[in-house]
Amino acid sequence: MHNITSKLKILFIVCMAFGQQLIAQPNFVLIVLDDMGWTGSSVQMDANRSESKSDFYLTPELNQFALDGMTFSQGYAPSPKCAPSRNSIMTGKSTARNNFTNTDNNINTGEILIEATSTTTINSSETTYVEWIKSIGMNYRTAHLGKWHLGRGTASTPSNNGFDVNDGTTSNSDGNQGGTVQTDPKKIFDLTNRSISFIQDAVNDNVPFLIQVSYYAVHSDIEARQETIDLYNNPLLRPMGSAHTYVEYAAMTEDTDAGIGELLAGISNLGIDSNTYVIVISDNGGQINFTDNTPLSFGKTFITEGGIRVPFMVKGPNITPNSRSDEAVVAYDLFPTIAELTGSNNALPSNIDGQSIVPLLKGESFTRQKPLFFHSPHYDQNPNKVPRSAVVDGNYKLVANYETGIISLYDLDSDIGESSDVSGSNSAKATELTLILRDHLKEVNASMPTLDPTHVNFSGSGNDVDADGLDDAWELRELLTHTQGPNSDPDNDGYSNLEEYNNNSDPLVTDGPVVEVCDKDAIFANESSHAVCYEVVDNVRKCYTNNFPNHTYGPFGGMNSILAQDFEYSMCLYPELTNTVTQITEDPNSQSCGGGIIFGVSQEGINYSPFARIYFVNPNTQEENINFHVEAEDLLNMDLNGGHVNNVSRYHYHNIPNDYFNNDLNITSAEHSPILGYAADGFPIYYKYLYTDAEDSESGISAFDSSHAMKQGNRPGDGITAPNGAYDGSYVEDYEYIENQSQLDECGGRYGVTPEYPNGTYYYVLTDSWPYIPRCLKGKYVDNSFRIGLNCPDSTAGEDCSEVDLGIGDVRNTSLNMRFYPNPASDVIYVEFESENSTSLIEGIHMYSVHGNLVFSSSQFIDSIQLSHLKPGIYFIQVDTINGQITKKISIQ
Amino acid sequence: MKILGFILSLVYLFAFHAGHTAEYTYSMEDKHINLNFSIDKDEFLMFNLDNNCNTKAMIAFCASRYLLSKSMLMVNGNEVKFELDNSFVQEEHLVVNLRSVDTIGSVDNIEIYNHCFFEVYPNYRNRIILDLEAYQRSYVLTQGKESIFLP
Repeated sequence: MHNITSKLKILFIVCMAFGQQLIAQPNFVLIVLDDMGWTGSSVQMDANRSESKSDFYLTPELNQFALDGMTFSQGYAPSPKCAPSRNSIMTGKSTARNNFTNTDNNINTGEILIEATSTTTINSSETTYVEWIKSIGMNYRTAHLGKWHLGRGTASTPSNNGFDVNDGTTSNSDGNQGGTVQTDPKKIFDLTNRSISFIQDAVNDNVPFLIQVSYYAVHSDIEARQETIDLYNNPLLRPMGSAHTYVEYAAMTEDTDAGIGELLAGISNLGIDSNTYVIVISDNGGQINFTDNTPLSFGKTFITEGGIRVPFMVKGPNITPNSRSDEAVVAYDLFPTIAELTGSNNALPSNIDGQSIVPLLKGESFTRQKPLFFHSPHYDQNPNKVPRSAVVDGNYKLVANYETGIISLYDLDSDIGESSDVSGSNSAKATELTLILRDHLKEVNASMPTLDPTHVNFSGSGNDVDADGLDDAWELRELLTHTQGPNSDPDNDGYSNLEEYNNNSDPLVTDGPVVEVCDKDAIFANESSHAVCYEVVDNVRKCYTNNFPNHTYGPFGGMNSILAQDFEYSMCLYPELTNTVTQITEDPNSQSCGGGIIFGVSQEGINYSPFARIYFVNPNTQEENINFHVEAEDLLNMDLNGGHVNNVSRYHYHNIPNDYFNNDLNITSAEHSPILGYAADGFPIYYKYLYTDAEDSESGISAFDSSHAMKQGNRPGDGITAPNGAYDGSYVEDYEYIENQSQLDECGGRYGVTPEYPNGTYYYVLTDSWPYIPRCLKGKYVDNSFRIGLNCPDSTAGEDCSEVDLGIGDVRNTSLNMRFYPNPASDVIYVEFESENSTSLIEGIHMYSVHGNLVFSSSQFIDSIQLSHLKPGIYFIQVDTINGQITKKISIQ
Repeated sequence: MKILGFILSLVYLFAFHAGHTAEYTYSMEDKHINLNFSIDKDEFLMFNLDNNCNTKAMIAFCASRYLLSKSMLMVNGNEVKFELDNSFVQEEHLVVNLRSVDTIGSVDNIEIYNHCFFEVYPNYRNRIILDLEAYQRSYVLTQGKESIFLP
């Protein structure tokens, strides 16, 4: 008996433990509303915009929901149309990646473009978020009730996509009952009651659950309860709005709200609020035939904010009541979000576009890994609706209009109605986002519209309907526009679109030197305001500057003011690394020009010059000890930008230009730093906000510190001949380099990809910790134009600098410095290694066309390659070494 | 130490970040002592030190005149008299070379007095770079500490 009792006890404990584990898993209720716009309820979606709610519809239950949870002011549906959005929610992917961008393939005729085609059913091979949650071994019970709209075939049923309980392959019409007045409009309450029953059963069976409740409302047909309509016909009870006036639609909205309220009450009555996440979203913006989305423009079917910005609210465990987030989020984030909330470590599908927003729900910091993508290459009944794609990056939204060819940038913070294109005044952001959007669409092989050869606008045919010499598909794929023409050079690399097309090169990414012509005389003649210009001459980047900052400066203390200068810097366009570190403090062996080195020059032409030529002085004899350099930052008067002027009124930086970075450039932790200048060796300079993983542009942004730290203890000096006292940062020698303290090396640099160098580069980083500005250089050629002192030779950058671009693989093989010349070449190209010993490392040299065709191969080192038989264009020379492959791009003329 | 003097003469020439600084390099050549004086040209003009000397018209003359009136080198207890040898402007810096009138034998001790520019800028720094036989050192003279004695 004792034995049996023990076994029962153990069994009980096991069962309890199992049961507790199950109960510990959170439940999920995803409420998907149909066509409810951002202003489609009485919830003020944006705390700073009173107009971000309806002035007529009353939704007390959603208002209470907002008080109980978190409201997102910039929540998006993945698409301006319902089925693509619902599919994205299922897959966690953008509509472009799903190639599910429309609800049908009814192609408009007579338009400039022929719409892209779209799949209209869920792909059964995709792993849905429901299938994923079923796969993680937590015994989730799942249900989908209400509108499905993802196809009616066997493979596209809810059952075949992870839902245990469902209503089948329902669509819009399944919610209509015929006639405006209904006792259960849009089956709201039937859906609600069945949802509660499902939840009740799951709770009774002690299993976690996930239910997607997809209300048919507030999509047409308009249905509502008579008593609710009566409310809206009484202006004392429901005062008519100015933006919103449709009584029956308003009543349907409030009836939907009532259904949601009953569902939430049902959950509460079961006592599972503390373990249940509830999410409310809409599948797209409000239908403008019935409602007004102002201040957003247009509505459903449009890729404007009115079509995609929607209600987005979440409540549940550990979510602060009545909290808000202004972060841009999208419903395809829900897959990874729900996944994280389950606590499972099971892998997600590798190529989902969504990102977990759990940190936001917890009130923690959040860095968006990649912007939000929207792809709607379709027409619609509304003539204003034309094929477009868009990308949202925080407050910036870039829209490519494929019909007009216009690519517009909007600052949603100041222009939520998308009325003012700021791509001209913020061309850097426009360029960045154009590239990001273009690359996403290319990566996912997005279905694109084509030019209609029958349209009166076009005279061409075949692949070149607009008769501009460019393949139309190439134009739309590579440029996102068909109107630029063959002679444009959007990346300003000296190669026209036609040349880029013929070379099969990227028209939006620089393939060669940036062509810009500077009027240095005009710059130097400017004595009173900022003037700077960068240009490329052969393989040299030149900077002409009058050294006048374009930001606020001073006060510096003392009597100094800024005077304009005539500075001309030269640096390698294609810098190379060396194993030798060049200190900027002194360089006594440098051609009798040993005053030190200016570290670099900023984009606005101010030099980064952290080193002060001040040394420890013997207090008795006044003799200097040049082994101890006084740290200028600690001694001199710097302004808010870490700069000051020297005795002859030359402004320069000793520390980070914080005010300029923060308030002029608006550099934040949310984005990768822009290029902030170039070092004397030609490598770019960035601020501390970099990709977390140096080689992964999608790894998020992290802030980096230097690898230096202040020494501990006391200086060894006697205070007379050398400094004594505790290390306190007064001297450069008070700091030491600690290898691997951060990812930055002793010169404050690292290898990696950056927005401007997607293939990777070595670059320097300005940090908030000492030395702020790096104190040494790792480049092979430090040009004389950055050296300080009399008798400094003229620039030799033209002769010294590499003639070809070096990829990240090249710069890492610092023991194998090579060059190919001339480049561009015509009949022959020569191969030269810095060290003759390097040739012993060579295992083969091969040459490929841009299409990957092998045009030359040698299994041993050769010093030249004959090119006369090859067509002009871009080629790649690959050198196989015992350490790996090195590939360099060359051009044959 | 010859190298040190040579380096410093160039390093300090461009007082790029050290505040208001001028450099004075004393070196020996053919038993004469050379004094190489360098200062940013704009700064020197801005100081407008001598109303009786047309600095813009005769910058080297004015500079040497001021320098000799405000500084003194004594070797072995005897004042060394200098005269202007040559001058030029390079890289926006005024370089003035002076040469001792008399030859100097061995250098057993040195005294240097330098009061330059303190009257217009009290925090001025005069760097003294010695490249004189056994004396291969550099010093910074500031107001109140305006002399060096090297036995």
